[in-house]
Amino acid sequence: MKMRCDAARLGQKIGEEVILLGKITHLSSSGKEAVIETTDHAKIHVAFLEPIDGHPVGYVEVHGKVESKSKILCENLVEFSDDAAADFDEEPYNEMVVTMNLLGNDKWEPPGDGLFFI
Amino acid sequence: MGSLTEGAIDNIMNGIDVEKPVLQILGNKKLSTSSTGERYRLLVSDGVRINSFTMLATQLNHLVTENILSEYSICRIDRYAISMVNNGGKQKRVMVILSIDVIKPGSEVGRKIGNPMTQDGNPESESASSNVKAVSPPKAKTIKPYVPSHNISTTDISTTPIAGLSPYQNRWVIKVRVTSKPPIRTWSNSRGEGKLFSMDLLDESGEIRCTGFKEQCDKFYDMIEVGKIYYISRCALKPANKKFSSLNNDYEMTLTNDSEIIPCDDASTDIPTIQYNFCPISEVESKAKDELIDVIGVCKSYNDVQTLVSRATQKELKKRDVELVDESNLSVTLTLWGTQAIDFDGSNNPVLAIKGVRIGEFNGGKNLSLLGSSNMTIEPDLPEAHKLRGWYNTTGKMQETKSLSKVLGGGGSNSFNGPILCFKEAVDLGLGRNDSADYYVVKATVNMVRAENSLYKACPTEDCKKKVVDQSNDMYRCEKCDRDYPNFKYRLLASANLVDWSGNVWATAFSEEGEKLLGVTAQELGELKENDSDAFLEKFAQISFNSFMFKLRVKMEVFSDEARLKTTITAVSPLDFKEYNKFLISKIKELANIGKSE
Repeated sequence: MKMRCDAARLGQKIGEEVILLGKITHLSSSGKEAVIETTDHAKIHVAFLEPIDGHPVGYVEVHGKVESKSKILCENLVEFSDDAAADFDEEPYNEMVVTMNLLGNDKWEPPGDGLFFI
Repeated sequence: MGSLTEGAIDNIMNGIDVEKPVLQILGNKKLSTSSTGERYRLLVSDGVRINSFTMLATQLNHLVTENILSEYSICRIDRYAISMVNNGGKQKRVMVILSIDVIKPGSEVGRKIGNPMTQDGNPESESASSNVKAVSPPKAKTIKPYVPSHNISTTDISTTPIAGLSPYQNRWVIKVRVTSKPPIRTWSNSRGEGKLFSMDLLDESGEIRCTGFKEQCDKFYDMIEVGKIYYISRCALKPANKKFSSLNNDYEMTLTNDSEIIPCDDASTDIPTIQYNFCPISEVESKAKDELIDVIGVCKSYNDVQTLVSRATQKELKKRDVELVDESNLSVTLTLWGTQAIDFDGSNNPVLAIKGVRIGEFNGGKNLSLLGSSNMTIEPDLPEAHKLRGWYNTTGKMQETKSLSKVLGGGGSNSFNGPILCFKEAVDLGLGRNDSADYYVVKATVNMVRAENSLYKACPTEDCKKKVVDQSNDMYRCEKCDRDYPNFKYRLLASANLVDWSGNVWATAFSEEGEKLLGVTAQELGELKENDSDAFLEKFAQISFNSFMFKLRVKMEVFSDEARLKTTITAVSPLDFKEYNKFLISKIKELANIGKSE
């Protein structure tokens, strides 16, 4: 299962599939390499299997495999339109990502009595 | 010290005559005895000796009242008489000044010359003051000039501390600071009408409330300024009514016809500005309703100004709810009224100190409400306030607070008051199973809204929402208004099935909320129902599987001997994802026991 991740945690997830959210700040002329600035404000190198079309300016979601703490191999790129991202706050998103990573898979485990709420 | 006649006092007191001694005045004290009227006793110095057994002949009283014999002034005594008095069995000489000339006014001298000692060797002690009354009137008695009492120099009045006041004595003067002076209030009842005002007075010993009626209102209200210091005398004291006052005093006073209020010019710093008796928020819960307390807290969040109409007076009122939190990490809702509500700015989480706020009860929770007599200070310069500010900035603002006021919840911008629960939680908590109604907020999805019987024909009169009876003659009868109308209004009474992950409820939505939910007016729906049944049903179908925030009211109601939990939608709003996300994150952290992640 792909886990949402922030740049700070990439080093712990080498070889895993993750989802990284950010904006493309630099795109190579070949269209096969890019640098994105993530929501936690780090620059991460992204390599694409296929050259991408155009230069997305808004948020993109990179789905792919972590190669190093600063590089990810993109298998799928999701672009968000400006409209969709107009009301997006990075702070709560980061908070959510950190919280999910802290809890890990345990969050799906109900406590002992089998009852748990939101 | 050259200009003073050194040794003159010792000589005079030992019976040796000194020709025109030059002495320094170090103070005066008013004595009033019934036989002689007013008389001043002076404290004089010759640079080595200090003597308080010096009296001013009464015809010279004006020298004191006009402040010619001010402190530190250097005077030549042109004529004096010595009279012998019995002082505790000992003969004592008293110098009575009959004629005196000021050589240098006190304002130019400005200090005590030399280091004069009393005869006992104590520097400048007023040891003899208690014996003053024993001083017999000297022989040199002349006509008393009329001295208007309000001309008294205000620097040297002997005053009584507030804590020393009681109804059993009436000869006192208090020197107090006015800490609060709410507007004049008027009353009108079967026994007549009138007006009154009250003010809170404070000195270093305590505080007391002072009330003035009618004439006293006219006489004193305008001259009193909050924060200024006054001498007040001759008021009536009576036991305080604790219901109306949070002041820490068993008595309160009433101004009478004889009362005197004299402004005091010296800006004494020994009188504190305002005295609080703070009650921690954690103790508010155990206090009785209607009790008045002082409270200090940080404004953690605040709502918008709300307008409501008073049921008793039909007057429009404005209020604003503020969430106040203190180091106990408990919060309580504080309601501000009128201009204070409108002008309030809570954006910087100010510390608020309030004197005399009333405890109220609502929905089983406690809240606080400002009264006309309450005194609210924003960012007061108090040690408690600084401590609280420090706590809030370091830990307080990060923590989840627990509210004593059940109605408050959610964020500042969220007008939905109440705990956010899921349906199962509401059931487990037994909401609505008590006598009173309970409210909660839930994020739920509309499963379906029943189209059948969702509309009814209501009385067209404004504010009467009663169902009308179709007379089948194009007339509609309202039983409540007892009238027939040619028309009616469509109103909604929609039954909606709401679901979340934990359960579902059937809830009733009346017109306002139903219209919001369905996105059409009841009138439009009514017309659709008459003309286009498919479109009418489509309106109800469209709403299914949309999510909203609902505020629900649950109450146990009995229908034909059967108790049923009735749920009503009291508010509905589109889901604010940001607010909801904030809530979810805080809830997850609370459950997972993790603090702020950064």
